[in-house]
Amino acid sequence: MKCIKCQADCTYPQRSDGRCPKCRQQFAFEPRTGAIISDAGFESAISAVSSQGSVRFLPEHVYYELARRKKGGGGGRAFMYTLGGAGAIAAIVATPLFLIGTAACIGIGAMMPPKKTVNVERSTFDQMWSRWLDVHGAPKGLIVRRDATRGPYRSETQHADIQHYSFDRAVICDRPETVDVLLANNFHFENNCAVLAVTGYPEHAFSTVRDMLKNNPRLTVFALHDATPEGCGLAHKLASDERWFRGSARVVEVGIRPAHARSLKGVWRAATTPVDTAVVTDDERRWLTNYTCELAAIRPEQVIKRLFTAITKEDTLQPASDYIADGGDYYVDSFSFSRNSEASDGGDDSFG
Amino acid sequence: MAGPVVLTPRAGPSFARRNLRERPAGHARIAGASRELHADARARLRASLGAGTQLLDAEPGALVADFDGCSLDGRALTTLTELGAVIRDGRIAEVEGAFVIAWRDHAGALHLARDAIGHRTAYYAEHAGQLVFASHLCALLDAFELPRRIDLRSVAAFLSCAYIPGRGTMVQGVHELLPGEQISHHGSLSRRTWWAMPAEPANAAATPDEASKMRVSLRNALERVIGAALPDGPVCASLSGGIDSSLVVAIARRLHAPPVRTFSITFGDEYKNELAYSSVVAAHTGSEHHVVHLRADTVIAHLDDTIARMDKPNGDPLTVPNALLFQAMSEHGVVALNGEGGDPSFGGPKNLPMLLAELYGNPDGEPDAFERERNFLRAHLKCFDDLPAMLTADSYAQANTPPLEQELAPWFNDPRWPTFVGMLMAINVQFKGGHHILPKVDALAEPFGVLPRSPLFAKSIVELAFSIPSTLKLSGSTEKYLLKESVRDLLPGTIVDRAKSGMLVPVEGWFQTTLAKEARTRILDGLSGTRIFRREMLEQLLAGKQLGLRPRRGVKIWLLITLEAHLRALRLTL
Repeated sequence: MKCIKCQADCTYPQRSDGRCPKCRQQFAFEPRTGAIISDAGFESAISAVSSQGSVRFLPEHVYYELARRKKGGGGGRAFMYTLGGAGAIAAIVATPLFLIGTAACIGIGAMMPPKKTVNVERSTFDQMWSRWLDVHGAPKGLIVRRDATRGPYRSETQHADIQHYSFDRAVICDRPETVDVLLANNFHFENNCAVLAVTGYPEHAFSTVRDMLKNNPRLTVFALHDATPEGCGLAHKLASDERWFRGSARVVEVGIRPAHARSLKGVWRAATTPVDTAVVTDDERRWLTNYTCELAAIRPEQVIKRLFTAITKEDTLQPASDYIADGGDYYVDSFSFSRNSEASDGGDDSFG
Repeated sequence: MAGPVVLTPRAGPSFARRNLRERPAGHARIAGASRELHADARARLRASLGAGTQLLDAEPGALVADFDGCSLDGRALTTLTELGAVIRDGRIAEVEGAFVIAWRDHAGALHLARDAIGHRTAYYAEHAGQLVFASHLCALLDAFELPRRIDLRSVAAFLSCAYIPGRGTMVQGVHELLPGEQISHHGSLSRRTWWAMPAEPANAAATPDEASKMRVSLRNALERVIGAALPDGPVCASLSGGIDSSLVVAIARRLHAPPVRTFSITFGDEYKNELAYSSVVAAHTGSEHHVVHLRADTVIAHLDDTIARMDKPNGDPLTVPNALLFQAMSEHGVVALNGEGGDPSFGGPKNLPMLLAELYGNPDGEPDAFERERNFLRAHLKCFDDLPAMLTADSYAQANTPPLEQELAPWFNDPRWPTFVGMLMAINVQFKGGHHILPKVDALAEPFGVLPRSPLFAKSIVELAFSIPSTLKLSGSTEKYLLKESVRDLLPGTIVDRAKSGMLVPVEGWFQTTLAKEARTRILDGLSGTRIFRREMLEQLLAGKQLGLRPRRGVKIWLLITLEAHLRALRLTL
């Protein structure tokens, strides 16, 4: 196993004290005693989600990266492979008849579909993450949300005129974590685009920014969310709720919806809530009855680049009513989060 | 109506060191020293600065001036005698127009003054116990054999902003005169500011009646300054199709009986351009329209010429196209109008990202005294955040001590500008006007004998702009609101209400194809030997391996080849 500090390779006996024999750096994980990944593998996952340290990210992104790397067979598939392996041993020591059974088990195992939901328990990851921070410290680019109890972000007074202005674009997210990712990566700054979560986040700027947005008749709002029943209803809520932009802005559904999530098998989650929204297609309803998929399953670099495509590509929009029977008064961008995510596992980047 | 005349210039003779056409008499460059100039220095200055160079005599009362379009109380100032009288009367702060003036008073002290906004400029250094100055920095270096040492802080400023704001130049010990500043030397150097940006009104808002009155007075002021900028004969004007150049053309066309000849740039149909808009304006106003089609090889062929003409490097990829546009104009007229100044004076781009940064703050960090200043540098979208990785450790330490952003703090805490947008405008007018845009157009027009005039940067217009409440500049999300409203009757709605786009030079595509080899040679052979940059970072950038959400590879490569050409032109070393 390789030490991530000095790159020295060592055998299990050589690292029996949990440290690199060459530089004495402690290892966070020991695959020989049950860890699902080595330190080098975990570091590689962090490097991938941070695009080699150039993009800010959350622990959730590392979790899904790990899940992506550990996806593969479900329980049934593993069972059939195990049975096949046992058969092969039996064939050697007992009778060639076991060979037929062995081949059958392996064949059935190969034909069984891979597991669709995450293969790594979140609690397992949380323990690993905590261990990683203890041993190696916080990685470069990790977003750590500032404690709201410590007061506003700025200690100085803002200029009096600041609320008189507005912005032509806003991204409204279903979760504060998505807002954190966009702000930490300067998406708002580089794209002249306000960013808020529908839940009222970030608290210190929420009402000011929303009021500024509501004053702009030329506003376009982009709804960005998880593939969950609530997420899929976000655009409709923004376009129909008077507290938001009913009749005052063009709302664009960006994703992700079940169609986007279908290419992300292995990082879905089992559904835990009933689908009680009307603004999904029958096909989406069937999928959402069983599964959900978080936006964090896509690497942040890809999310931001796809969002950039979405806010700059006006010609890919279609009215929601073409797509969903009760879609309401908003538009669907069926391009930005679909074509390329189908072509990848959520980890590659082929555009932007 | 006939379509535009399409011009396709090919690489022509070099204009790096010599003018292909001279400006009219009375527009020559200036130079001098606090002591009498030696004969060899005089000869070198004349060789560098061209025909008609004005050298300041040693006698008390001597005066030289590089000036254009100056007036006082509405009366044109056309002679050195008239300018001398203005100085004697202490009324220099009231002069409208472009000038840099040097004079010797009766006690023998040398004085050098630059116009309020920075239409003309001059460089100076203290050398061998005296003050030496010249219109061009290279003339100063050549004539007085000044040390040619690179100023690393200026390298960092240039990489962050694509220009060098303030007094600094790329040469240690050589300074640029600030707009509205006068320096004096009589044994020692002293500086005074004779014109400062006016304070803005305390109230950020205006009633509809007040707004209406301001719109009328702005329109009257625009007609006055554009009218004053018109020559007797035909006038040329650059026309991008944006609101600023369009309004200048529209008003010029209204006030000027002789032809108004407009010029736009294209890099070919395969690249995004603004021709649809500029053609609409040309047709609407009835200008004689010309489209200058520039190819990548023509642009790169004149890169060194263009950089050599600029005293401080300018990393805007439009520099060479600007120069070639002036070359095309020079066949059709001497005076060239432009719309420069509309953005900084009337609330153009860069304000919205700064507003967003202000609203959100630093999402996961502590409040930081210099976060605003850092955001201002970041808003240029160049290399500010790349500096630690791009520069060698030694260079970075020298360049960034104290941190660049710290130097900006006084601007962001000036009580004259109580509104956020007013504060940003004041900074942009002073930095971008006096150290980026205006010196650029003056330097690039010179080799072709053209006199550039930027009426939206007229002192009276800038002063008026600062009397307008900030919410009439950035109204909601509408940039330059009052400026647009003041000319709405002159232009089609498609021009007045269009979103800001800006002229884009296709450097991203060029550096992946036609100019890839050229860039590699210039950067790796030219820059990596300076010991300023980490070679591996330069190689990564050239190979397109720079990571990040918006790598902006083309813009960064252009910055670097501009820097390389500038250091080579001035023969600078660490």
